[in-house]
Amino acid sequence: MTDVDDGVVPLGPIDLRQVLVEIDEEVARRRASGALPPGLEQELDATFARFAPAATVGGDAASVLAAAERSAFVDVDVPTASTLPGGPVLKKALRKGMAWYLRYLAQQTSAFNAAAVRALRSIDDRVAALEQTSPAASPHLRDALEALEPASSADDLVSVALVACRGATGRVLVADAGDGAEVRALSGAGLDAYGLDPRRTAANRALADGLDVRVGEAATHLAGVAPAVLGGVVLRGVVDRLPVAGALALAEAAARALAPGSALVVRSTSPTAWARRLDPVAADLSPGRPLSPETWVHALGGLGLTVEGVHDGPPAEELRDIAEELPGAGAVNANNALLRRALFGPVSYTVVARRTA
Amino acid sequence: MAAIHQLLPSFAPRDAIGAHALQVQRVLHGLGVDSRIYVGDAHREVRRSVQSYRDLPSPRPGEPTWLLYQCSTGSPVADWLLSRPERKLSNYHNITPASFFEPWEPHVGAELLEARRQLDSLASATELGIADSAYNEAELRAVGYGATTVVPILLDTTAFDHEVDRAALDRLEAKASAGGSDWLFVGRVAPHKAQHDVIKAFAAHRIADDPHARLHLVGGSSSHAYWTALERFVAALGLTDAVDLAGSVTPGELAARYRVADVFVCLSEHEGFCVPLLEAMHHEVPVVAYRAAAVPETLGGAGLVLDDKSPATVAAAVHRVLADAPLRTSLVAAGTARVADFSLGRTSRQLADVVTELLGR
Repeated sequence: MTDVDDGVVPLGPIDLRQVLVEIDEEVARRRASGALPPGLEQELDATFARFAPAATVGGDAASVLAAAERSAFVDVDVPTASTLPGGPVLKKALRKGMAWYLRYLAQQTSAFNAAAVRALRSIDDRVAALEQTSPAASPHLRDALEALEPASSADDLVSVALVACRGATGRVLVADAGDGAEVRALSGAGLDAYGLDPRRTAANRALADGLDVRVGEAATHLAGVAPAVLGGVVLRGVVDRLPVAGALALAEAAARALAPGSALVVRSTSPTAWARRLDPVAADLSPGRPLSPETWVHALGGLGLTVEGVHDGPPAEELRDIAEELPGAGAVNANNALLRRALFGPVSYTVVARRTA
Repeated sequence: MAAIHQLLPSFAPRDAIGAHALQVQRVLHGLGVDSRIYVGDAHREVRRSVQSYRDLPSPRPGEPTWLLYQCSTGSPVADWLLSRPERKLSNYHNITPASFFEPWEPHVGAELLEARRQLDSLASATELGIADSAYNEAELRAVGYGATTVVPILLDTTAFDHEVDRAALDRLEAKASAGGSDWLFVGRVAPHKAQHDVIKAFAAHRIADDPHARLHLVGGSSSHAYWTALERFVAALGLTDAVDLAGSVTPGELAARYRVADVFVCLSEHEGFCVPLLEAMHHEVPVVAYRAAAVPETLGGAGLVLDDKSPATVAAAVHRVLADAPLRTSLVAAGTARVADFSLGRTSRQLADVVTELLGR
């Protein structure tokens, strides 16, 4: 009666595989309808993280320091609740009797812990100061680069992502989801999509619109996702600003999280458009720059993914055609087309790769 | 006369490995094999029925003798075993990866690392590794055990039937009469059992489906820090009245909990076998579980196994099981059949076949 491949078998007249598909659909419906409030799961994670050791919940340096700070004070007033008759009274008596000794020790330990955390905070401040002098690590520059991401590029990405993720059974992650335009479009097409964005304002705006968009970095999030569970991953924005090693590590984490048959969609600004549009100083100091489509095809193939295609984004708009009725318009516009192709190319491109079984 | 003596790190009443060792001894005696049990530590209740491993006599000349080590944790017994001249067998019940405990209980993490080291060092000295699941067998092979086989843990599943503690049942039924479903998970309160994930899913279920639902978490603590975190988590969610961190309970009270349970929810990250899954199926409680380690293997398709344990998914799965009567009935029927796969008669025969082949070599 067992199916050792996946442990899912027809159960008499009931097919558990179909039941699981219907459960996924129900989850998507609940998320879309608000029956499960957007942000609930993030809130549950955050609440448990308050009580768990920092090493179990990951997170950035600030949250780890906050966790250390919460744990710094040693509380000797142990809980006295008990299900046994007389238990609370006994425990209270024990607590009272031992407090004079334990409190003496706890005060010294708490003082040491507080000093240690203060020292770590001081080191964190100094690291932050160093980051400001090191462009590769500067969150300020990252923010500035995010603002330079090409606008109005979502439509073609959505159409490519919809085709790539059609029929996905797991959740579809959109990195750098911004105000959630892609998440909304994917959810509208029946996919169970959610997003991440490091910009709190944008993520909260999406959340207020009823979308499941969380504050966070894609790399941090994907590191905690179980292998082979996601129905699709759309990487956009973040791949434009990461150093090469970071971008490739992110793609590897995404590939690991993908269920067999699911698609990884990488949306990148074209390198020429990026350099052309960016302030020269910002471009020179940037920690990373977009990769060429050929590089992504090579890298994704190296991760064991099957690259299905590269889709060009909208064309550059630097050379506008003149009105057809003007004298010589035909020749001018034909030359414009040649120049656009030769000099500018598309603003962006999208690579679709799929994890095979 | 051949002899196969068992070595256990510890022996306690009502302990699954201890009960298994007694059943193994019964099978061996049935085959005419001399078999005694030697232990590292013994609970005072059972101290008279076993001997210290240091009292193991030297093997008799001409009598083929094996030492069967019941491996589930670190112990001085394992290192001592390596110094013995007898042929060696390992019965592997899994060792929890240290990474689960290191953040919560660093000393337990260190003990588990030591246990893994002992498992590795026994590999080359062991003639046959007997694992109680294919998952455990794969672990043995991964660390270099050459000859391995699978024999499920020997359990008298009829021992799952205990007389229900009437007072406990009355108390639980009084709460149930107010409406709402009862979730149950049974297992040591430990990080790898992921009771915190059960609580998260339960919280989502209360919001989306059943504001009157109750959760019973039964099992003694393996980590004070984790237990305390669970208590605080429950309080922070305002679920103190709905979540019962019951701790270790009597067999009669456990039977009462199974009696009132509507669903058994296991979101454990690591299980070498997971006996409570069988117990739940025996008590006709449908199982919703996360696909991890040996859990799907033990369930054998008789539970709803999820690839994703996000609170939303688990809550929806539980809701489906509670609301879909045909599904529930089918799961219960499949569970009953699955428990029969592990009947003592069947598993005893499997072990007897393995031992017979071993003796014939």
